[in-house]
Amino acid sequence: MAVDKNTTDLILGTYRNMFKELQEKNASGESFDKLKKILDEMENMALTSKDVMEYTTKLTTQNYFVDFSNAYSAVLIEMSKSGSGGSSDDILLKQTLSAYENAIQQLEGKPYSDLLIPPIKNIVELGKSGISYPVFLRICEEKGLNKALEGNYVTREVKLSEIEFAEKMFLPVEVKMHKEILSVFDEMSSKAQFGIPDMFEFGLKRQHIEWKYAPEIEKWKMIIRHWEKLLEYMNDWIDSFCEFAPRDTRWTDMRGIFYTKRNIKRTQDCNPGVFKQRERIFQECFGLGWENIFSHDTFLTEVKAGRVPHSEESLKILQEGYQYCKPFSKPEENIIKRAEAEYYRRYGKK
Amino acid sequence: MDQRHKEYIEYYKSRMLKYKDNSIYKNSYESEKALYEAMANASDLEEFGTRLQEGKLHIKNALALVKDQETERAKMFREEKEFIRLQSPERILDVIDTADSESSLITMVNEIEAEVSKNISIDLFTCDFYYDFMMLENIEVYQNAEVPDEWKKEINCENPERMIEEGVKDWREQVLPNARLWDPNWNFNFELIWEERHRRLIPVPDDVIKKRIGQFKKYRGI
Repeated sequence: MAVDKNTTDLILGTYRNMFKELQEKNASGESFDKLKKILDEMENMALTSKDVMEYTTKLTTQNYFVDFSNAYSAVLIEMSKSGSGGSSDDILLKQTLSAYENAIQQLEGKPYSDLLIPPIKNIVELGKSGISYPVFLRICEEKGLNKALEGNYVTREVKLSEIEFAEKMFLPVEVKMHKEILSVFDEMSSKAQFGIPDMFEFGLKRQHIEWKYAPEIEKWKMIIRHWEKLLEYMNDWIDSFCEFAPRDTRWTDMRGIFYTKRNIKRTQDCNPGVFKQRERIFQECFGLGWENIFSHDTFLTEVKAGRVPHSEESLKILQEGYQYCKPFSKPEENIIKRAEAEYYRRYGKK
Repeated sequence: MDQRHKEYIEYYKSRMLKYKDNSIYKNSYESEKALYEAMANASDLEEFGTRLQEGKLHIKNALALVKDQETERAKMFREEKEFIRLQSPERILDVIDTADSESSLITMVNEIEAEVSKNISIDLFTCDFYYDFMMLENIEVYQNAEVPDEWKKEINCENPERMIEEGVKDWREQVLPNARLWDPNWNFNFELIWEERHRRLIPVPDDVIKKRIGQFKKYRGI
């Protein structure tokens, strides 16, 4: 069974394009032949692999990606040495400016092109000002024009977008993390020559900050997962006593009313015991109980984010229902009536 | 000295000066300095070209930058105790001086990074343990939930047994074969759970982890 064409196109698209670019530049030679052979083998492997997981694993473990990359680099090096035009200063300057002008064309219309293109245009203007190649190179170094190509303006804009996204998604730990990264970027910029930080050094600091926050992000998510389960069990238990239960998809069974009623009874009889075990695990993992949920930062944030699927009244009902949620018990009648009323208010009576 | 030569001297000086007093780029500063001195001390550009080729100064320049950057990466991974990721900069730094051309440098770095990337993927199979936590909790909940007699068999026995049976089957038919596509000899290594790079991402106390390890072994039939 082959990997389907769309998936193969996605995986191999970049490599096909890289090969095609070299073909269009009339690349040839041993390294180019090797590159073609590698790509052909990657294509054929898609036809013989049983699924996409086997395919991508083989591509990685049998070093196809790295072999392609090495062969591609070898072709580029051979092409740069093969005297494509010669090596006088005028020719080198012309080639350099041509490469930058191509880059401008490729960036037109792309995201952040308004930030990426101007530094490249500055370099092209400098190159066309009549100065010699070595003077052009020196001025690029001394004025940091090369450094401006590293995309630091875009980096700051991207960071601001990430903060904005995390704020809109109500992810406070991520907001903290991205703000710290931005603060490091700004501090490095303020101390750097030309106001442009070394992007390699910044990259390491960014990576380290993301690494630092990973445990806190994981803990936040896990706490939410735990109390979500507790709310779900409590909600299902109370609702199982409501008049609408036999028509609710949580319990309706295609096999008929007997099994539907059995599903309802299972929830009524078993959820308290299940709930107590879940609560014990919550306590064991985080030192938190049911009563801590509703004032916890994770809960308050999820409510603000609109990701808690219970109304204010529903949450009150759940909290009041807790005292009755013990094995072999049932909720007080008033709780059941209020749950029914709230359900019909939200979903209408069927 | 002709004007073009003077202009190149100034250019190589500017390259050298950008790394001056930079604590990260010490090797790069020295290699740029060597290039600058070769240019400044040459009688003409032709002599510079000869010095460049004979001393392989351009190759040494590329190596110097890689050394500086990999040294910083190694420092960071050591501090973070990310010992698998650390393999990449350490191995590159071990062999880098044997590179004698741009292509051999690129090939060397690519191959090391690809191999370490595989090792990272294999190491990350350890996360299968944490990813199973929800299931392990569910099994524990069902096994221990206090329920009326008529439900004991289904809730306390059949449910958890069915989940365990599915977990063993999934491990044997999916997880293990897929992992062995990466490493034919792979088996789950429980000691790795306690390595800091993994432990730090499991936000529960040690006691809970110890309990989950026992549950994971049963759930996966290990």
